[in-house]
Amino acid sequence: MISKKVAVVLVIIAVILATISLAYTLVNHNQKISTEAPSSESSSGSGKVGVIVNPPIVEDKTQTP
Amino acid sequence: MAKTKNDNNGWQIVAYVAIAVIIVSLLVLGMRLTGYAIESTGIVRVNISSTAAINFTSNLINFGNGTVNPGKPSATLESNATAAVDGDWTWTAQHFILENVGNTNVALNLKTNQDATGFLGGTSPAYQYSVNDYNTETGSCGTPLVTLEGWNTVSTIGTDICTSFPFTDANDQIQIDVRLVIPSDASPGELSDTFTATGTAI
Repeated sequence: MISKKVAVVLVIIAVILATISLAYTLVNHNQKISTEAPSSESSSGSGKVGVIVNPPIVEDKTQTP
Repeated sequence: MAKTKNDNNGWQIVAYVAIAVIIVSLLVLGMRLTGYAIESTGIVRVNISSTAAINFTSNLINFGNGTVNPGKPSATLESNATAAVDGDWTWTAQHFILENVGNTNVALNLKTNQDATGFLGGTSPAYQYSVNDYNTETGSCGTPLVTLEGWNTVSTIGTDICTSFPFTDANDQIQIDVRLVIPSDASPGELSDTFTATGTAI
């Protein structure tokens, strides 16, 4: 036979343990590792075109006699 | 007397329920704290960021110096050739090579700093480019928006040239050639301009 006082003590212990157990479970369940990282949406690059234009050659159209 | 017996039975039940709760709680806490469990699962998570990145692996086209042949209205220089038509420029065949070095497909836009008149001057100059799949990498310019392997006039505001420029190694490079028509009355001197390609993740 369990006395009334012992039953009350058991209830208190049960409530405390159940609360700790529940809290521990919830905390672990909600743990998340953040793996998000910023994404790069665009990129650009450049290239160069070069040319050297010399002055036109003037044709000598003079005629020697 | 009957009431006292019922009270006792009630407390007995409460006590047994409390004992059961204590046992379950201790089991749960014990498994959590010691790591011991009948069945356990682990999850590995990894997130690979999407990165748009393009690069000119060949970024210079230099035609060198030359003159429009006397009596000709203009000279034509194409970078994938080696000599001018109606001019005395000579060079080694050269191209821009553009590579998708990121890990996502991109839409490709191409622009120049100057148009033909600004770059070359003179009467009826032309400044054009041609987009080709580089080497054997067919399909590098997916759903092209310009004429592939044909001459297209440059744009200073930008032209969308490829709907999809893939990142897969088998087809992640395109070749861009340049064509100049230099009039006989073009501005003499050292002329240069810049092509800018922009890739936007799709």
